[in-house]
Amino acid sequence: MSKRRLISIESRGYEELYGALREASNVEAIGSMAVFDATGIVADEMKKNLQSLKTTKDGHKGSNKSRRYCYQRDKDVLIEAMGISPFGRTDDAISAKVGFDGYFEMTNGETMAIPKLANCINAGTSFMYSQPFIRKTVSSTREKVKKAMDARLEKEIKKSEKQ
Amino acid sequence: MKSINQLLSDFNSEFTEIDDLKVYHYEAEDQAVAPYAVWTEQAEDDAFHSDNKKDEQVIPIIIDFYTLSEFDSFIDEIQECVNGIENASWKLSAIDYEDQTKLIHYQWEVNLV
Repeated sequence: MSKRRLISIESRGYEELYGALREASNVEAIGSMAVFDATGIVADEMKKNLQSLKTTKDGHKGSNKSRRYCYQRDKDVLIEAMGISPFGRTDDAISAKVGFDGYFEMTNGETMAIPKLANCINAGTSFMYSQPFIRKTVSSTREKVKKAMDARLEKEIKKSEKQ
Repeated sequence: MKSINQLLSDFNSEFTEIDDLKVYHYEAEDQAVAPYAVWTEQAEDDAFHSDNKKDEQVIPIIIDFYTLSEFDSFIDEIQECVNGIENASWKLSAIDYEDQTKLIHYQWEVNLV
């Protein structure tokens, strides 16, 4: 019989913060500020990872026998196109996304969606090495984002309590 | 802590049991013809420490599957295989159609503990 481990997750110390947040009169503004800080951190890291993408000289077509990296022009397209979405609001969350949109023209005259280009470089293809810059961005910013959002929430809630 | 080589070797044993699927580790061979799968391990994604030592590490495996056939039955077989692996979480992380090669590319991320 296989062993399955039961995992119990307990977080402590947030009750006071959540309680204060519920009492604050400007919850949406405070939440938005925290999300703003978070997206800044993620966007900066994403840009850094895009800038360090490896490239192959134009003209090397690549195949499953001899894969290539992305071209310099593809890298430039992603760096230019990267952005932050407008803040979204649902009943219980405020969020924003860091990503890509738009289209670009390839050298053969055909148009490709930039999110598709980002996916091809991130996941790789049969002729191009994968460079998982998205997972790298998420892994390296996870803790920084949590700390930054906690710090912002505490600061703004305290300010709100004084008013 | 589990041996990383044992983790990878066990994964390879299970994955290569899929009948008739050509499986490569790191890179496909020069003459590889679709359908085929390539898997590669990546750097540790997360870890658990206790008593100032590493107790567990999470090793991501990326599986790339390439085929020229839509609704290829290997796609379901790969998912059944990874779903049966002990102490592993997984997701279908990317799907793409390569205009240049006409290959359909499925990618899974499997996290082994």
